[in-house]
Amino acid sequence: LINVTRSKRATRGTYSPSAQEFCNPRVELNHVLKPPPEERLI
Amino acid sequence: PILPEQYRVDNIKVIKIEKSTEPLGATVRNEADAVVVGRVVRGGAADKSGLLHEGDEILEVNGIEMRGKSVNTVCDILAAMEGTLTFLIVPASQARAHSSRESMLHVRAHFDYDPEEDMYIPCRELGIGFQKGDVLHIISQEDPNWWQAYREGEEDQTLAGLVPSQSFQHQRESMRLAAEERMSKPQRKSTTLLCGKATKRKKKKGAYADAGYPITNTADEFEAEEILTYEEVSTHYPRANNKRPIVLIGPPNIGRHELRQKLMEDSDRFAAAIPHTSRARKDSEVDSQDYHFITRAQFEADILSRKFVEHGEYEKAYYGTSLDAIRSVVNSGKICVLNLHPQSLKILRTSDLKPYIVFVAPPSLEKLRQKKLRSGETYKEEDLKNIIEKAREMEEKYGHFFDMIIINNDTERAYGQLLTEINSLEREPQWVPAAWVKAT
Repeated sequence: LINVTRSKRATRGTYSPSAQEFCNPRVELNHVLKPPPEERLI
Repeated sequence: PILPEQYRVDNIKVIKIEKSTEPLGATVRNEADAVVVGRVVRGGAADKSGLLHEGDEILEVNGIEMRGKSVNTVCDILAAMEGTLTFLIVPASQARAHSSRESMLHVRAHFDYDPEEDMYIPCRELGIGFQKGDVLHIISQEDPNWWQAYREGEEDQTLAGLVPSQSFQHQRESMRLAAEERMSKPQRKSTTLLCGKATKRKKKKGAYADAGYPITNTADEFEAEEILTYEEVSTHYPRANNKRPIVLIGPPNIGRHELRQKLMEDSDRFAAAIPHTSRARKDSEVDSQDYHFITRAQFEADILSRKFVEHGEYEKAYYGTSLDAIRSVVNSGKICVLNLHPQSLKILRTSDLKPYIVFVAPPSLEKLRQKKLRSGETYKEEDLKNIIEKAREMEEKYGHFFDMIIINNDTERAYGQLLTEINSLEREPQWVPAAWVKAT
């Protein structure tokens, strides 16, 4: 069921590769902003 | 199970929550060996029970020890459970002063967001994807970085989702821009963001409106580059005697004029704003009907006092559209239809006129080619590419102002779409910038 919720959410967005490229935080951001510890839904 | 010594018995709480097949609506994270509640999501059973709080450590659920388990395992175990769940928890040491439910905030997103691509989202399965222009109902701002929200049209979802907060989005976007800036100018020690962008802007001057005269916008040319995140919106109810002007924006030769003309054929319903000019009136012309004829000196004074939405000079005479001219159409109970340069949007949006902005966009290059062939127009391949490039630039720069985008492949169809939308504007409530509603 979690998977259902997950895939449902996942399909909400729109596929826009250019926007992804644009927003991709890979560049130099990583050492400034640290990703938070992963949370899972129960 | 044997509990670690640091837990005194009086520090442990037993709570019972009823669980359906749906998730409880809380997240867990690992802190060393501990399984800790990360957040309680609005709309779920955990939230409604009021028994789980951020920072609570979950020791056991229905006798199953949780300590030492990864959040993924915990997630799987809980997903399989149903009925009354008995939690053994160590309450968060800092009992959060439970904020009284904040009032809801409605925002329009000015950027696209895909949680699948976001490495910073704490809980990906809760992420909501959205596109520029979508309206979000923010129901919790408790976490300064991650808001809980529903997307407009999906309020029936049980659980709220996560979206980046305004400050988080702003922060990461400014970091990204700064990084971009550093990479593009590696030799210079420090360049402020502002300077870099301002120079780019300067080059893009000399826009021409379709009338052929260069357009000068009355708003300041060099404002700081904005970082677009969210804009607060409020509901606006249509008013019979105060209709929103329809503004058509778009690259030239994509049919904005035809669309405008077609609307204006219904002259009981639609009207144009009467422009001002400093040129001499011809005998056949009527003042305040063809144009408002004013002197050059008066025109210049009016420019300075920001009366014009846009103005330009053509064959040594000024031409311009004033806010008052638009307002007088609105006051007459008609819908004002305007074809403007996107630069004019800023001043129009800061007025009290509540413009409805329609972007008339070209179809794909191939379809555009076919369209020109169908209508028997001669065209240069180069021009078509220019049109598409111009449209792309406009959308990038002004897209956050658009209320609607019409792809004009077929004028009849585009007109139909536009008319349907205008009709619904007269019946249905709309989301408009909150400032427009507060001001009145």
